[in-house]
Amino acid sequence: MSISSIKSMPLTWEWAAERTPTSRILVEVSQIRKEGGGLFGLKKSPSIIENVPDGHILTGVVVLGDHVGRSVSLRMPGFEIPDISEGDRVGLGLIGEGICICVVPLPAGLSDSQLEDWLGAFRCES
Amino acid sequence: MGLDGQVYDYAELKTKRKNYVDIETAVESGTITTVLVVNVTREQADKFKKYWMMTDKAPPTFNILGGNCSTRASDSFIYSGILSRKIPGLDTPDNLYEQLVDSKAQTTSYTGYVGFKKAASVGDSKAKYYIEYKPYTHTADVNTPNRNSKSSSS
Repeated sequence: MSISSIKSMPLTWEWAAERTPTSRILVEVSQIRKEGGGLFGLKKSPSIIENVPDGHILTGVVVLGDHVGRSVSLRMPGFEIPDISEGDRVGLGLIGEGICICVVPLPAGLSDSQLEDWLGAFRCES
Repeated sequence: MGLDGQVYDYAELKTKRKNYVDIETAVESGTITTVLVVNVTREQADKFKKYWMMTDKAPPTFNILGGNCSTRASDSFIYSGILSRKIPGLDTPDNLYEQLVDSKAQTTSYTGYVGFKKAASVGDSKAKYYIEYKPYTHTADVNTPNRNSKSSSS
């Protein structure tokens, strides 16, 4: 087991706001859970920089793109999570190493040979 | 609890707090916001903007008590001459809202789903924004601070 597969890669959510991803990875979803509010509900306060509304944690493992085999953990608004569940594969659009600007479900019926083309081109809606 | 402070402009809000500036996201996320529009003079507006430009360069430390977003907003109103004294009581958005509505300034309050759109600029004119607003009508008094005030509600 490599070091990269042990240490989880934390990703921070931002809305795309007309930006294009600088890289894209394909992730198999391990878990989606609602985030707790923390002490006195402070994590839910909009005054806290790290706050995301309706915070959820999406975890998974990279199966295609940079860092294959590495686990990822993304805090993001629940209402921005598409209709996906554990075991599904999704494309994550990234800015740099640590910012995720979209989660896009894998289109139905896509063959393995079409995966790389799709991964290199899917769009992040603003 | 001292945390790093941060100032977000419109572009940063669109990436980090979109539910406060985009009405569709506000509706989707159930984000109810109260916006108080305060009529001020050109000079007051310029000083208000200057305060936030300075604060953006060196944001003070955030403290939940006495150094929070209401505190900084209050500082900006005092700096620009719109208010003359600090927030009565604890530094909270509701207390600042009450103070502004009770001040001499003319105010208009909006509570509901709110967004802001950038208006098309003409020549060298400054960027202008307009409010998009959908009243929240599920219950009459949800998140409507100061609902008994004399401030008009559109």
